[in-house]
Amino acid sequence: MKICNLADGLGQLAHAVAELNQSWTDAQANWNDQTSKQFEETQLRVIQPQVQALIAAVQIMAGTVEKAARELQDPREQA
Amino acid sequence: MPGQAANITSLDALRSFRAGLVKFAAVVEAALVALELEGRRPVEWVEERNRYWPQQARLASDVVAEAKQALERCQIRVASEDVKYCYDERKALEKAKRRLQLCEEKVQAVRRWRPQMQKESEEFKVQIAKMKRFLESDFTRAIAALDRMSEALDRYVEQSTEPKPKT
Repeated sequence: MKICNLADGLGQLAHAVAELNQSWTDAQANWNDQTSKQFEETQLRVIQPQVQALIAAVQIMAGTVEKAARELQDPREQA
Repeated sequence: MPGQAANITSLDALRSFRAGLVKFAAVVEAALVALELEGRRPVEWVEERNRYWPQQARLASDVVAEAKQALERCQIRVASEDVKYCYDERKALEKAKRRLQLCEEKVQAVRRWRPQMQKESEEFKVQIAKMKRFLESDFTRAIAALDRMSEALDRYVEQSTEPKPKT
């Protein structure tokens, strides 16, 4: 029984982070000085923990929903 | 940065990364909208279960009552020494009782799940709100910082390429 679809949002988040990391790697090939390091330190490093916290929250929610679905669904509805 | 050499070989790289940041924000915002919407469904679903299972319990209770009556009618009709003494009716009653027991267990399970799902959903919303705030504040600052750098570099390039006045 599908109660909600959290997987799509989770996939979007993971994809966005991967793209941003790639984009930063590409940028560093042409911008590599003290300012870029400082920018990475102060502006970019804070993104990862924020997104990770959100991804963790989505995973916890997905686990809870799965458990609830198992406990509250009607075996007749599965048939 | 005073006293430190800048090493930017392409202004386009900076602009391209800025575009990457803006795209990141747009994708995350879209994901947040989808997650917020989907995150509401479990609570709604548990509420639906909270109506469904008591209703099923009532139906199951009716079926048990009917099965009992059917067995009683059979017991009056058929002699008790018969090997297949009201076999179908007894089986039907057992099945109806099992269903009723299941429904009653599910009613209790829904009672446990309602506050739990509500709590989980609230915590989920808090995380989404945190991410939204992050995008609106810190992230916007990161883009603004890039813009400032980009503008400063543009000015620098313009000044260094301006034709020098003839002396």
